[in-house]
Amino acid sequence: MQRIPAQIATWFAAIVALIGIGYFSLYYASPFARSWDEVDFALALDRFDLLAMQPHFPGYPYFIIGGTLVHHWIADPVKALATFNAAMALSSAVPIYLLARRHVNQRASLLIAALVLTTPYLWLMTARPMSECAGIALLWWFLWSVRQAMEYPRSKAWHALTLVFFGLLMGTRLSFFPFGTALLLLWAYKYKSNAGTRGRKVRLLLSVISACLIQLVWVAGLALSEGTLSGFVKLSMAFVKGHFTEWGGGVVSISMPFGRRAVQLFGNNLLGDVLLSRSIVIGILLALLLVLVWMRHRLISETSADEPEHLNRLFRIGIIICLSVYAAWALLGQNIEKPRHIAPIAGPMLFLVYLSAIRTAVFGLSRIIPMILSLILVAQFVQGAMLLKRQAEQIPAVYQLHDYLSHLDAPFVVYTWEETRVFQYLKATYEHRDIVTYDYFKAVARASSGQRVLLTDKVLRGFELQDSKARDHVVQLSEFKSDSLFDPVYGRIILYEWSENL
Amino acid sequence: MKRLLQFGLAIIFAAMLFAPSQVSAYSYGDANTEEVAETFKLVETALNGPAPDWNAAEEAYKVRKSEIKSHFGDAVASILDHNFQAKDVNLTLSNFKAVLVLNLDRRFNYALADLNDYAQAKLLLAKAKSTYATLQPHMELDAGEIDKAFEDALTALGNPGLFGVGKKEPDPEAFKSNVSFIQNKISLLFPLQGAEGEEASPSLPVDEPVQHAPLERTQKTNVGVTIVVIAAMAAIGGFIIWWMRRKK
Repeated sequence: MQRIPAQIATWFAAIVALIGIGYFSLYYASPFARSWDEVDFALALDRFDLLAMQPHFPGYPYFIIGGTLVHHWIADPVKALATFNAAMALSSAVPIYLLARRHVNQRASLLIAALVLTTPYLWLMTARPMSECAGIALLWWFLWSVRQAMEYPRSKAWHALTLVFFGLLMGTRLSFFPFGTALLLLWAYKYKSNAGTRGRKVRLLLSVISACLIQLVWVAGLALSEGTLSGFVKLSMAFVKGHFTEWGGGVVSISMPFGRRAVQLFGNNLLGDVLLSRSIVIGILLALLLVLVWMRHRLISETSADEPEHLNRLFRIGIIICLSVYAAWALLGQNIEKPRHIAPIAGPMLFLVYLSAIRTAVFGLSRIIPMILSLILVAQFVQGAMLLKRQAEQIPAVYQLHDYLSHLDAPFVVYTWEETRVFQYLKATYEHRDIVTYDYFKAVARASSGQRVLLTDKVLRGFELQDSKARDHVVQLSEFKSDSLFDPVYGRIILYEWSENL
Repeated sequence: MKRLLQFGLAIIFAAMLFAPSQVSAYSYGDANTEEVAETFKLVETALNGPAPDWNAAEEAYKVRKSEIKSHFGDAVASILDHNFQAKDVNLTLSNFKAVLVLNLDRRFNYALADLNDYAQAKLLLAKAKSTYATLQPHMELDAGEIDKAFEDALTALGNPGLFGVGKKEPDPEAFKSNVSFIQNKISLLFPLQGAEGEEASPSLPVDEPVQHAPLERTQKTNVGVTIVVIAAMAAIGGFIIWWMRRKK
């Protein structure tokens, strides 16, 4: 009696959630280009130019192409990119559903897709003009194609599809390359299951070559955006050379001990920001779910060991390996200050958690687990929609600063770090410059007499690393704040005025 | 199963080995930096303040001296040499600024000559912009006007587009007019001054040595890189095959 309405309710909730994701993402698409990177992407729609850092190296060509197509209808480049992201994110409900479908029934699969896509932080990224969201959506399609290719190890078509998706993924977000591990594991699996057949080595070699050739498509597209191949080589060389001759580089790079780095990445960035989006309610519900799953996890592994389950298990282990490789890369090679770099592992992680939860529900938890999952869905939807609204309405600190400076009369020049890129995007009419080296700053500040010299807290902090007395020369003018969940690095900006004689 | 897990762990281990060794975020360089301008910044920094550091300034200048000589002629280099020897801060800096103006003209002239080569012209224009940006704090001009001229000049170079999307045709006339607008605004601001203080021909002949390419061609290194990449790929392929065989 009670089961049928509950089933219908789940269907209904999941579908409403998916529609809601699409609607809110478009309605609350962020109107701001709040950081250097976002400006890079937004500018790229009007003029693709690697040298001018629109977008920055290595180009993200498929993302820009997608955004450019939407840009035909939506004039604001930031909104065009966000709309493309929303479309991609919604499309990823399909592979998530199909992947889950291999393990659980239709209703549960739909619920899992809704749960993964309503993860608030991932949802926030949908409404922003960054390539991560499109990359994460393509990652789902890629993982699904890997699973299909595992199912049919002799099929060339499924394998080709996998390679195509990996090409699209790399051409959208090159920093997701550690997920190429899935491709290596797939090749190992195919090689093994083709044991005894002739020419499997040749086939393996051909796979590797085709994978490289497919990557060449977007590399060639990038190269031709510079007119000729030699032009592209010249530009790349200039980038590499610039890397070594960059003046003042390394002056203010702050190194963080490994332990603190790991805590920052996995504790603050992954757990606090990305998985829970700083919501205690979601945290408690997820913790409860994990405890229940952990209590019963033995029961799952003792049951069925038939063929499809064998492949499923291989796939789950494969995902865990990929996530570990990516996490290692994020820890060692990515900017620790930006939580979005660890975001791609959140979706697959949660996918695995929800999957085991639903499989656990069979063992005497058939009421409590669906209830917790529904609560998580509701909590995530509310939190996500709320954050989305705030992200679209709250003026970013750097925009507030721009507004303040626009109303300042006297001739002045403002020195910044990355804020200058946003000022440029906003077509600021006052003088603004980025600066790193303290001694050079002092020389230029002296040269521009008659002008007020302003600087931001980031600049001052950099100066303090070079000269501990730098702070004695400044007076605070004003402070600007926005939510650090949206602006992890520039969520709090303090404006100072410089005076040499203080 | 167990093997697969081992394989995975091996990959993780390899990834850790190849991951960047220094624990800091990677970054790409700025291709737009102009070395002569960067040298000027170093000199300016060293000579700032009540106790100018002539050693540091001269060190920085020495590195760039041969370049300045070959691009702008012996006369310019010897004037700078003279200023450094005389330890005259104002004259050294103002003449170095004049050299930057010469550099700006040089980049513009080569860009004008290379208008058909999109990548080259664009890079030269960026270097010119970088040179201008270094001079900008020392000018009392409407920066917006010149910034716009640079922007319009860039637009005038056209754009091959990404996969053909966003393709724009170049407009050489617009490029020329924007460049000469910038040159007219800046050229007379920083005259080159002789050792005795008199003006030494402000419009110094910029007949550059023809054999001197505007940017170093890096074809040679490119071939080297290609060979290394192919060799590395072959080695990795060979390793995989060997590893698979051994497992059998």
